[in-house]
Parts: sequence; structure tokens; C-alpha cells
Amino acid sequence: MSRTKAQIDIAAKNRTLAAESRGVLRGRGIFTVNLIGSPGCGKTSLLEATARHFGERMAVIEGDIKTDLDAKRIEAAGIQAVQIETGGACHLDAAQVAGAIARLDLESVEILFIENVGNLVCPSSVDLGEDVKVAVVSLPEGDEKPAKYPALFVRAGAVVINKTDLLPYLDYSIERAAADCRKLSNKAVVMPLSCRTGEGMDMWISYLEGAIASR
Amino acid sequence: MHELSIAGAICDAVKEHAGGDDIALLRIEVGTLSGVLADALDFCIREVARAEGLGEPEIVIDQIAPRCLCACGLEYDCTEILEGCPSCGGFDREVTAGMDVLIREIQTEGEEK
Repeated sequence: MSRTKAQIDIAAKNRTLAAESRGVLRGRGIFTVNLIGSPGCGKTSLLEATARHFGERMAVIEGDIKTDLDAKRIEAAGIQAVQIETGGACHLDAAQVAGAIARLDLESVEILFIENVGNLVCPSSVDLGEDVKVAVVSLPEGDEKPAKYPALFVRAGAVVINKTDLLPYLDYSIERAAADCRKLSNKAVVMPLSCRTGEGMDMWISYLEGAIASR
Repeated sequence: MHELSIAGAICDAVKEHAGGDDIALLRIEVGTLSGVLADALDFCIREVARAEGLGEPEIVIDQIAPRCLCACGLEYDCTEILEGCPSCGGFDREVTAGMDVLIREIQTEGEEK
């Protein structure tokens, strides 16, 4: 019988690949966002609205289980996009993202968004090489989502509370959701907005511009 | 939901370590903020270990609460993440453990090396 006390990190291989991507992106002065939220919370719509400000300074890696519908939407907004189809996997991993980065023309890019597979659980713990994880929640999901899915929100550097234009029709407390977000991640920037009407988008854009400037 | 791929990564690492010996016991630490389900992981490790020829090890999974370091200096196990620091009540804290899956112990059936 041989006994070994160990500390083997299961995510080590993924972390190494993610660190390589981070090195490449930071070396080019690119700020990278890992965008995580439920299916239908408005991640792609937020990116379409964001594209109107950044133009060719922005690129997108789209993650979905199936279809390239989202990459087509981003391209239609005039933005470079690469689609990853996971074929069933519930989150992106660093190897998939490294492959997608290699397919992008990074020449004019200052900000890269990686839109993860729609899921509030599995993507939280997987490093993709990003500078920040941004969680996206939306009003129809209910204001208790940060409290119910802490694994994502403790890691979030910022939280977008999307679809504020629906506030008159829903019993949603933005204050409650924001307070829970700050309990889970004290430094998280919480930004209620509607990417559909444009309300609150100015705060999101200045958050991103500030992040790029600090690169 | 992705416990099977994590079990695969665990068995790969264990295989590298064990050098062909059957595994008697595996001790795995699962942070409650890792997003990994201990029961599902236990099941998946047994299945993958059998498929990979690692034998039928005893699997011990220790679930650990997040470890927080508060700005006030207190380090504590945080069983209720929405509650503040037990000393100052604050939320200005860093989570220092409880977010990962780690292999803590591997016992093989082979000769002492």
C-alpha cells in the first residue's frame, strides 16, 4: 500500500491554457470580458448594443451548444465574431477559446467579449483567460438569482441587470438584487440597464472604456 | 452538470500518479462554490475509474465551505455566503478557498515505492 497526500488542482490544465491566452491578449493591450448569464437574459442583445459604441475596436467569441445564430447577429452588427459550438457541453473551456482567439484578426481590437453558453452554474468556475467575469441577469428571472447562484456572483467583477424597461410589469427589486450582488462580491460594479431602450447603457460603456484605458 | 469531465480529469491525474497500480482510496476536496455536485462526482469517478482500469477505489469526498479573509483581518469558514463577517459584519472579503476541486490523497494497492 502506498499513500500519497496530494494537492492536485483538477483545473490546472485549463488554468495553464487560460493563462497563455491572457498573456497573448494582455500583450496586445486587449481587455477581455467573460460574459455569463442565463439563456435569454440578453447577452447577445447587450453585445449588439455595445457594438454600436465600439465598432471595429471590439470582437466577440460566441459560445453556444448549437447553431451559429449569435455569431451571425454580431456580424450583422458589423463586428468580428467567431462561433464555438460545444455540441452539448454546458460551458466553454480555455482550449476552445484559445482556438477561437487564433481565428480572430486582433489588429484593431481593444476589447474582446467571450459570450459563454447560457447557464448560471457551470461557466462560473472555468477560467477562459479573461480579465473579468461579468454576470448578466434580467428582470423576468426574478431578483433572487444572485442569492441562489452565489458561485457565479462571488467571482463577478461586474453585474449587468438587464431589461429594466420591464420594471413596470414585474415585481422586481433592483435594490435587492444589487445588494445581494455586493454582498457576494464587494467590489462588483452593478449596472441596471436596458440594452433595448438604451437606458443605463452610458454607465456600461464608461465602465468598459475605463477598463480599456487601465490596460 | 459537467461532473463526468471532472471525473475524467481526476482519473487522468491519478493514473499519472499511480503508474499502473490499482487505486485503493481517493480523497477529493470539493469546495461548495466550485459548482460541482459531490454525489454526481462520486458516481462519475467510480464509473471512469472502472473504465480506465484503475480498480474500484473507495471514494471520499470532503465538501468544504468557502474560506473568507475579511478586511478586518478575520479569516473564517463562511457557511452562509450572504451573511457578513462574524466579527465586523462587513462584506469586504476575499474568498481564499472553497472554489476548487482538489485531489487530496491517493492510496494505491501496489508495493511501497
